[in-house]
Amino acid sequence: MTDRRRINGPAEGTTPPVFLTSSTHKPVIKRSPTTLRKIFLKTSLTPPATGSAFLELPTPSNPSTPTLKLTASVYGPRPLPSSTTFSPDARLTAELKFSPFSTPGHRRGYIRDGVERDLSAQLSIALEKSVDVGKYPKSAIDVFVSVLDCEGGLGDAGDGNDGGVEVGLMGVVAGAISCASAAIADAGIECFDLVAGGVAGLIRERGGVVEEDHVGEGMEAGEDISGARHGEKKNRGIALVLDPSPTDGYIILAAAAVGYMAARDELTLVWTKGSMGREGDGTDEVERLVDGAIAAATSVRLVINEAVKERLLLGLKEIGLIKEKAGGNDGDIVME
Amino acid sequence: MSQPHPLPPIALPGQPLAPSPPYTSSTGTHIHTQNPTSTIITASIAGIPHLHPDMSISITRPSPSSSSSSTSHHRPLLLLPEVTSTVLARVTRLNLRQATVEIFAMQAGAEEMGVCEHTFQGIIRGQDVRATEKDRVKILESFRVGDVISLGDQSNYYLSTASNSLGVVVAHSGGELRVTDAGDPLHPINWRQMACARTGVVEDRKVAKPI
Repeated sequence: MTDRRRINGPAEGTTPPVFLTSSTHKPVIKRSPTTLRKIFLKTSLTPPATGSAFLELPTPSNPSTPTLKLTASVYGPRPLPSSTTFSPDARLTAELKFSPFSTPGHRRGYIRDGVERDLSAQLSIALEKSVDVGKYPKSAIDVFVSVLDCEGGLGDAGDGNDGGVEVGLMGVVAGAISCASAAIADAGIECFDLVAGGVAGLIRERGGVVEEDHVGEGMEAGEDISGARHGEKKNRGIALVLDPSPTDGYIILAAAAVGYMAARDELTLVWTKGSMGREGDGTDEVERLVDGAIAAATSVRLVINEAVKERLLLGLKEIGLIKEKAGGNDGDIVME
Repeated sequence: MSQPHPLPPIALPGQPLAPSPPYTSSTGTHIHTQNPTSTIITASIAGIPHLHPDMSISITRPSPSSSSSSTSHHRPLLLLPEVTSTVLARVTRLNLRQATVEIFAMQAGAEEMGVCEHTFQGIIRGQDVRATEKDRVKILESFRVGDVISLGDQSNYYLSTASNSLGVVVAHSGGELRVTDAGDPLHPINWRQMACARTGVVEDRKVAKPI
């Protein structure tokens, strides 16, 4: 008598399927170090939310390579829960959550872990300076970012990147900032400026990584490490990479992520990591990193602007205002 | 009217619109002080900028829900109760001293009444109902309350119905004596009484000005 309340396995044993490991692909760097990846950003895709946005970086040549996909939804302004104390301004909370299937290789738990808590705090810091919280007294604005697919490791144990710093989390934070800011604009919440996230990294310039130097040098991981160590000894020049991806195969010495409000020229978040500058105090390198990240964020800002504008024009078209208002002036929006 | 400072057809958050000294900021914009000598009006929401005759600049969002939108989904309005806004609220709890209400629609400024996305909790204290009918007012189904006289404490909005035009607009019978007859709509007789359309039972209410 079989147990009818359970799904029983087959009577005979089975052999577990063996999958090919996807991590055997060689990193292929096709773009130049200062070129950003293309960004797909669309707003108003989550109907129940006040405002929402979806951000995706393009899938690389190998479809099994992970990329960055995340959604942001904004709820509010809504009344504060009765347990909270009085607040004359709006209270902005941001929460970043990784989906269980988001990390390649292993599943994540549902319970909020330290990484998520840390990223949520950073996201909240980056966003709250941009929102005009004084306009919404006694209310809460909640931002939820859900990471659907995240490229590369997250700095967890076992994700060691052979001596370099891990930029996966920085990419996630930068993407989350941009996506959440687009969602806030989509919600129509008054904000001083939109925040765009940008990442830059410093790599040691050597053959194989910066393609102009040498062509055809092997990209085996072992050679990478030895090459990096040789490079350190030889103290070669240091190159700046914008929007580095963990799948690019760079060995990044230091990296910075910023939240940048382009129209106001203000930074809302700076996150640096890595070690630089054994000679000197490293100020130049930090400056170079942050400037690079700002340059990346400025380019991302253009994408956010386009996404917000696209939604606005769609709304105008729906109510039939598009002809008289924005008819021939489509490309006229210039941010300075 | 000549426009010395042409506005862009569409404004995005953070976009500078006009220098501040001649122009003033209205809804959807705010004044950004770049340095002590120059202040500038920037957009704070995405929308269409308008220049008003009083040199104020406002930005309106297109709202597809307001005009014949059968295809687009309803976009909720971002509304918060302010002092002097008129609201529609449903009574949720009663005691001798106050009525707790749930604000679900409000009218802010000159705009039309809009349904809020979330309800806000409000309180009508006995002394704010009417000077003569302090605690006797039975507020049962729906209330037209208005004039938020104060923004209240940490979570409540204090409301007042101390005006002829404010009070109950929709009510259903259901006095404690006649439970079986409950549920019929009431119509107003005078400013303090409403009668059931079917049974003619008169109940006490603070009625909004009968038409």
